[in-house]
Amino acid sequence: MQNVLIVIPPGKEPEQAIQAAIDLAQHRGVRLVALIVLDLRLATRVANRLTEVGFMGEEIGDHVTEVIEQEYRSDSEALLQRISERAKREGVSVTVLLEEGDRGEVCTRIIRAHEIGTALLVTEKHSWLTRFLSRSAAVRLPALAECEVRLMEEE
Amino acid sequence: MPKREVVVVVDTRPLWLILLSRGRGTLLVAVGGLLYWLTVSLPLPQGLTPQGQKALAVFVLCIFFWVFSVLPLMITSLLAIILLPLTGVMQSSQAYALFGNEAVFFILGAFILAACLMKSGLSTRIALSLLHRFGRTPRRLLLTIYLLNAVMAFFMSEHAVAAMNFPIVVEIVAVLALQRRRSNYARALFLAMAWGTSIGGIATLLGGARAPLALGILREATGTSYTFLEWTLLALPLVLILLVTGYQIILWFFPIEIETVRAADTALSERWLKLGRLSYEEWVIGLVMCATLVAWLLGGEEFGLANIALAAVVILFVLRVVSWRDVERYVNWGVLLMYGGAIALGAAMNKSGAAEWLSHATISNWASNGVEVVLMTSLVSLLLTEAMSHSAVVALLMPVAIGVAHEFGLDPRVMAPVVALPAGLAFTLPIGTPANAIAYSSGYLRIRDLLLPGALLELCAWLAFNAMAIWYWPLLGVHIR
Repeated sequence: MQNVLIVIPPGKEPEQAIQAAIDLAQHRGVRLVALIVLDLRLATRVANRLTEVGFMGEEIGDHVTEVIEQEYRSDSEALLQRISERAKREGVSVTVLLEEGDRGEVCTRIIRAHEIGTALLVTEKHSWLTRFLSRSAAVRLPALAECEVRLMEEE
Repeated sequence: MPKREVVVVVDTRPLWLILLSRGRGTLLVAVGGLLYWLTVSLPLPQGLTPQGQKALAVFVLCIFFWVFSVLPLMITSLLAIILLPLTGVMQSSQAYALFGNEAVFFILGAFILAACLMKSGLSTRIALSLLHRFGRTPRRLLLTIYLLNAVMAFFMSEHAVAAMNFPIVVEIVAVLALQRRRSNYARALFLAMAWGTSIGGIATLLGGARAPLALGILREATGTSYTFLEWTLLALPLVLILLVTGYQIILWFFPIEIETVRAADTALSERWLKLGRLSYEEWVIGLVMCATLVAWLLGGEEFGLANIALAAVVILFVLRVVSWRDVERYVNWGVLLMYGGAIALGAAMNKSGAAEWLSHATISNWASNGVEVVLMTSLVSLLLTEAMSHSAVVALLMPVAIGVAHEFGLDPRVMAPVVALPAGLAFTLPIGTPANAIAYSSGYLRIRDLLLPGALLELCAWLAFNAMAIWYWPLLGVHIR
C-alpha cells in the first residue's frame, strides 16, 4: 500500500494542500491519512510564566493550560472532521489522527505504521531566525522518512 | 514477546547549535560567575568602597540571572540573601530581617485576598454580569472586556485577572466562530484583555507587586513612602490616557469586521444564569474586600497597608469562608522569597554606597537635570520591562534611581513611580508579561499583531508619563525639578 499522508500545522486550514492530498489519494486509489500534531509546549510555557513571573498558584496555571489545550484540541478536531467528510464525499477512504509531541518524531512513526507512500507536509511560514535555530520538521522529515515527501507552503 | 518499535529521530542541526542549546543553563551560570568574579577582582574604582564593590558584584550576578532567567526569580533572590552575608556586605541577621519588610507582607496579603475572590467565584460573577449587561454589540463587547480587565486589575493582580478572564474571551471567540489569526475582532478581543490588565495594573498598589516592591526598597533606603491614595492619584491620569489611547489603537489596527455578537451574548447569559444566587462566601468576601479598600484608602498611613491586608485575611478565616488549602493552591509562596531578596539587595546597594556610585557612572553621566533623569529612567524602565519580569526591572533600577536622586538633589520619593509605573507597561512582546503570553497562547494573535500596535502604545505611554510627571505631579507635591 502506498497511502497518502497530509500533515497540517495546528490552527491552519490549508485548502489547496488538503485538496491536493485528496486528489492524490483518489488518483492512486489508496487511503488518505490526515494528521495534526499538537505542540502543547506553549501551554506549559504560559503556565510556567504565570507561576514563576506572575507568582500565581498551581490552580490558576493549570486552569489556563487546560483552557489552551482544550481550545487547540477542539479546533483541530473540527478541522479533521471537515477533512474526513470532504474526503468521503469524493470517495476516498480516510483516517484522521490527532497526536501530541514532536512533529518530526510523530510523522516518522505514522509513516511507518500506516504504510505511507507519499507525505504532504504543509510548512508554516517562519522567520529566517526561527528556521535557522530550530530546523523545523519540514527540513528534518525528508531526511528521516522512508517515503516520498512533498513540501507545500502555507497559503 | 512482540518487539516494541523504537522511533529514533536524528537532530540534524549543526553540532555547535545542539551543544549550545543543551548547555545553555550551565553556560549562563558560568557567565554569571565570571561577571561576579570580574566585578569583585577589578581594581577598586574611585568613589566605591570595598564593601560597595562586593555588593555591586552580587547585584550584577543577580540581575544577570534575573534577565536571562537562569534560575527561577525566587531562587535568584535566595542566592542574593546567601551571598550578601557570605561576602561581608551585611550581616546574616540584617539580610534575613529584610524578609520581614512591610511591603513583602502587603503583597502577600493582597495575593491571598485576590485568591479568595477567585476561589469564591465572585470575580467571575462580576465579569459575567458586566459582560452580559453591556456587551450587546461588537464594539461595546470589546470595550467592556477592555475596561473590565482594567478595572479588575485595580483591585487584584493583573496576572490573576488575565488568567481568570481568558477562558471567557476564548468562549466568546469560539461561539462567534471567529477565524484563528485572520479575524480582526478575535485579535482585538485578546489584545483588549492583555492591554486592559496591564494598564489597569498600574493604577493602584494592588495590580502588581512592582509598586509595593519599589516602595519597600524606597522605605529601606530613605524611610519615606507613599500612601495608597497618593500612589493612586499619581497613576490615575496616566491610566485614563492609556485606556483611551490603547482602545483607539486597537480599533485602528483591527477594525471590527463583524455585525453582531448575539451568539456570544446568549452564551454569556447562559453562563451567568448558571451561577445562580450570590452565595454566603461571595457576600462575605465582597464585603471584606470593600472594607479593606476603604481602610487602605483612609487609614493606610495610620494602620499600615500590610496590617490591614493581613487583618482582612484573618477575618476571612474567622468567618470560615476560605480554607488554607484553597489559599495554598491559588498563591505562589515564591512571592515572599522574590520580594524579600530584591529588597535586601536594594538595601545592600544603597547602604554600601554602590547604588550611588553606579548611578554616577551611568545615568548621571548622560543627564544634566531632574527632567532628563526622569525621561531617561522611565525610558530604560519601559524598554527593559519588555524583555524581563516587571519585578526584576524594579529590583534593578530602584537602587540606582535612588542614588541618582541624591546626586541631583531630587526627592528620592519621586523615583519610585518613575521606575515602577513604566515597569508595568509591557505591550509589545509575549514575554513582556504573563497577560501578553496568555493572549498570544490563544493562537489568534501573531507576534506582529502585538509588535507594531504595542510599540505605538509604548511610545504614547512614555510621552504621557513624562508629561504627567512634569506638569501634573507637582500639583500633588511631587517635584521633579
